[in-house]
Amino acid sequence: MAAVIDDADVKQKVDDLYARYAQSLCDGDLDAWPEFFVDDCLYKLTSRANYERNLAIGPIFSETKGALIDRTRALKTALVYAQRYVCYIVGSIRIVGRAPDKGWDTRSMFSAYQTFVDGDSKLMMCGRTFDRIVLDGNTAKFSRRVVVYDNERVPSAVVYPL
Amino acid sequence: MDTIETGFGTKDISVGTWPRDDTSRIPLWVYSDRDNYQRELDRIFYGPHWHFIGIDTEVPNSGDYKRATVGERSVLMLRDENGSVNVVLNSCAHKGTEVCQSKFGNQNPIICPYHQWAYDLQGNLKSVPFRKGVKGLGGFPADFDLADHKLKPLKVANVNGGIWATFDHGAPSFEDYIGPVMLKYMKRVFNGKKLRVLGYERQRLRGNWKMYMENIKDPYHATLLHVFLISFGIYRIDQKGVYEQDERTHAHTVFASVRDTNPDPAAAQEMLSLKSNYELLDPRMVIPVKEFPDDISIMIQTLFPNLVVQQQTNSLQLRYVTPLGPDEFELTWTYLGYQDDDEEMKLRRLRQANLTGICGYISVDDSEVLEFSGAGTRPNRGGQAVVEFGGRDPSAPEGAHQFTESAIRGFYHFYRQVMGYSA
Repeated sequence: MAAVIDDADVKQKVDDLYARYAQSLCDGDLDAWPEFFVDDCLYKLTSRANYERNLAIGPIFSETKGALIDRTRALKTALVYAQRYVCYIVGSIRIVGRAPDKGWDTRSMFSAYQTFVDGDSKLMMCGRTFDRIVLDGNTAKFSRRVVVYDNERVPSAVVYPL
Repeated sequence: MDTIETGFGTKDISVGTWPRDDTSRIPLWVYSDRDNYQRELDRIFYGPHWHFIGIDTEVPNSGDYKRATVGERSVLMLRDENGSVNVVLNSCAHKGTEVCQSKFGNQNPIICPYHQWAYDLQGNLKSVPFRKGVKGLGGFPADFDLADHKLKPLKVANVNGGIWATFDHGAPSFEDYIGPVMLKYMKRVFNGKKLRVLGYERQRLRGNWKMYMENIKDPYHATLLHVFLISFGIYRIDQKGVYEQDERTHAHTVFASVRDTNPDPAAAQEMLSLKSNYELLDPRMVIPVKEFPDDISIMIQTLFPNLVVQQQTNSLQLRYVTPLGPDEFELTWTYLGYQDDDEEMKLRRLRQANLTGICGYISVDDSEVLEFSGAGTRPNRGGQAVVEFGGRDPSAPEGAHQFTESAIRGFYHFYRQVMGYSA
């Protein structure tokens, strides 16, 4: 594994990105979600079972920020689903290397809980992320985000992206 | 009709009885009664019915295995030295222990971790430790015969790389079981080209397993609930298409239609969810290419009891339902492509998969309403579902139009026979 980047400024920006991202998921702020990504981005949600067998298809595969906006619009206007809260906890954020062209590769661990109307708060997913972060002006954004969940089975549908 | 007074002015339908001789009413106890669920396991899941196990390319080499599930039982799909794919119960003949714990693996022999009983790739017991004891101590009785003990084999069918199995060796062949009409449609996807699994998705839904099969047999909801399905012309109830059943049972069904983005004006008025001007910033997931010899752009096939074979433009999927008690089920999605797909086709299948599965633009709607159905039926098991859209008959209607719930009635027509609830 590549040496840890010890540039304090970069580390601070990366930590801040993850904190703001988690906060916006917990707030349920759908409009904010695509803004954490650069235009030319990759977002992928997949299971550990697929990831470790190099199987390409997982629940979400988006190749542009436009596709992320499409998803938030669909969630607001088209899909039928029960109201829920999502609580997204992220930790162990670490810069693991410099990306070949620009930016930094990172890893993090997460757990996400969901709460339904008249229901208990329960674990929805836990897993790891394998992301690439670039500076857009002075702001850190994702150019790639690959969310790999450990769950063999996911409870109900996964409505909000993580 | 057998009913009991509840004291609230309504009559509950008692467990084991049906509101009508036909299947235009479904008693809600079928979704939650535990004795009925046990009867389903015995008669349907462990009886003379065929269950999807996997794709032969998931176990390419001798000794490869994959864990699969039939009903509540774990089974192993194994590739043997002769190249055959076998399916055996994942339960040691010694004390019932699960012998394989990994989802995928390679072993030969298959050795139970507990007392190391060793089996060949057909499930035959080959050796047991200390068979003759040590220095005259212990060992097995003289009449202990290895041949009497094995990993229980299932009857297996391999149709162009798709593996099905049944616990009942007296069951009809898989081809006879689904019949020639269903086989013809199934072979559109299982067409003899080598298949490749592109990924899996698995979810747990809090509803009864039959609700999923009903949902996939239900064009009525499809054209009302799903904005993405109807607005991009992927499927609408008024599209030109076919609806066929296995006429012997009414339990295996196929709906297929041709993509068409211009809804019939009269039908469009009824579809509140239709958004004809819906635009996507990145529309690539709804752009299909013609891939099959015919013009069918969507094929939705349900095989009794619990498998969906779906071709949705270029997305090829199997949806397999595993019961987890009467109140919950697992839905396992297996996404398929062909080994000779070029990079463009792989990418196309990957993009189109966004429409279905646990985050799918279409399928989220289904997952959610099935949870609502579970929640609404569990505490109200004396009630009944009214399934009278398109009449009360279990057959496909004249002209094979899709304005009907007859495929659901067909499912229960067969279900009642199998379960011993005949009128």
